[in-house]
Amino acid sequence: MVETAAVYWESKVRIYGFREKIGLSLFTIIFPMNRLDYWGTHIQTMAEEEGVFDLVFSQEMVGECIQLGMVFEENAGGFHRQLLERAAKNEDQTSLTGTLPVEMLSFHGPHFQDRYGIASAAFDALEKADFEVLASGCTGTSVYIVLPENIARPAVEHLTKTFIIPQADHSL
Amino acid sequence: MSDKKLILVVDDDPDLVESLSMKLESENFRVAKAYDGMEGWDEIKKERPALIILDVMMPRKDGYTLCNEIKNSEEYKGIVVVLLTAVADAINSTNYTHMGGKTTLADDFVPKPIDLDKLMEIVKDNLQ
Amino acid sequence: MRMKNACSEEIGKMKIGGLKLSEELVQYNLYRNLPTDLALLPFFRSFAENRINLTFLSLRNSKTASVSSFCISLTDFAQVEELVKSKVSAECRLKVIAPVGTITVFPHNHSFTMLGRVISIFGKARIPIHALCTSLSSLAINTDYQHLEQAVEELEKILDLPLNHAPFRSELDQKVICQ
Repeated sequence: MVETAAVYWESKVRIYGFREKIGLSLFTIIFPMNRLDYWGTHIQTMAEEEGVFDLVFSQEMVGECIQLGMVFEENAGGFHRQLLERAAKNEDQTSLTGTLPVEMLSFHGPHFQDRYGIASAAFDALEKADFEVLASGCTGTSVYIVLPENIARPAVEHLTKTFIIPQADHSL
Repeated sequence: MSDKKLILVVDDDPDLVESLSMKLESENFRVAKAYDGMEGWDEIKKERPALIILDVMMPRKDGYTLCNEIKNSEEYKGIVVVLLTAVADAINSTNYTHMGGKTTLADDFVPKPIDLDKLMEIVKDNLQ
Repeated sequence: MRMKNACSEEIGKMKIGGLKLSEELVQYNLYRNLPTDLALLPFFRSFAENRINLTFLSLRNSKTASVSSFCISLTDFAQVEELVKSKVSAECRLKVIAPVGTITVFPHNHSFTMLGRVISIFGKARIPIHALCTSLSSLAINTDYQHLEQAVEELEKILDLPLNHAPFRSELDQKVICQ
């Protein structure tokens, strides 16, 4: 059976709406690729203290290293930060950076995975308004953008001019 | 046994399934999830939801086919079906002919992209 | 509503809704040793003008450097190579990895347990992770296209798929329905 995917173009991209989250922490770990198992094991323990992530992303770095970014809401005791610091302590070629507080906006729309121009529309709008982008991840039908403190709200207001959130006219 | 009503969300876009689930759970519904029509049919037999939010274009078994199977089944025809469709602009009836002559017996439809608040209204109206 | 009991997940297999494999892709890694800057923007604009879809993006800007990874379909490779050559500036370093494939696991339920176990299993099996990124529901991992099947075998050791699971690869017949 052949699946039929809708591929369509809109002069103004329609989305399901924006989400904003404030008071988040962005931790970036750079470590050798051959330590994936070690870090995977430590990341599992971050589920303790009700830990959940909001966004995770990675890139390859020079020297067979990986940069792993995790955005999440830290608990008051700093449990997750301490866990990462302990795990990084005696590791070679490893660095841990914390950026906090950060804010995050996200949105998604129909068939974003099959469509061109979404990233361009979003980042163009943010760049023109001079908003600093700390990190971003786009996969599936979601776009996530990590921003400095107090930027998510104005960024969303700005992006609202670029994207449309339809109010359905449902008249059955 | 929970008295929260069960809604089954069937869509091949996992992000939309998640988004709808979060909204429905915040409105005090229980949610079951499926990612194509065949998985959807399995969930219906397993869980018997009160209402199904059903995407049209999906692999293996599309929403029209699943909807008609539900509505032609003595056992399941009472389940409310709300279709999600990206091609709803021309639809003015839920018993319409579309996609090369296919007819659906859905109870309601919502155009994509979804207005989540409107969808919640439709869900609640249909469950009263 | 998020799962709050991620830590209490069983050590056995974790139940998931599904797993998908992408078509053949090309991954571009862009490195720029300059302060916070959207080095990718000229590429994005150019791709949009030429109707080229980005299937994946992961970027991190810091005070000292900008590192990003993005993917395009292998079928767009020749066109993208031309566009990239004309846009890449002297201070940027570019790495191309091809072909890569994306494995998408869903839903992740925002679970560090799932994330950690998936990363670990790739490490144990020595399957490279060229990039990863989460969406609202999914965890997407880029690896060498030739390693996709092996990666699925490894993931099936820790993930419990539905019995009537859809095929991992879908055959798409794309139609323009609105222009």
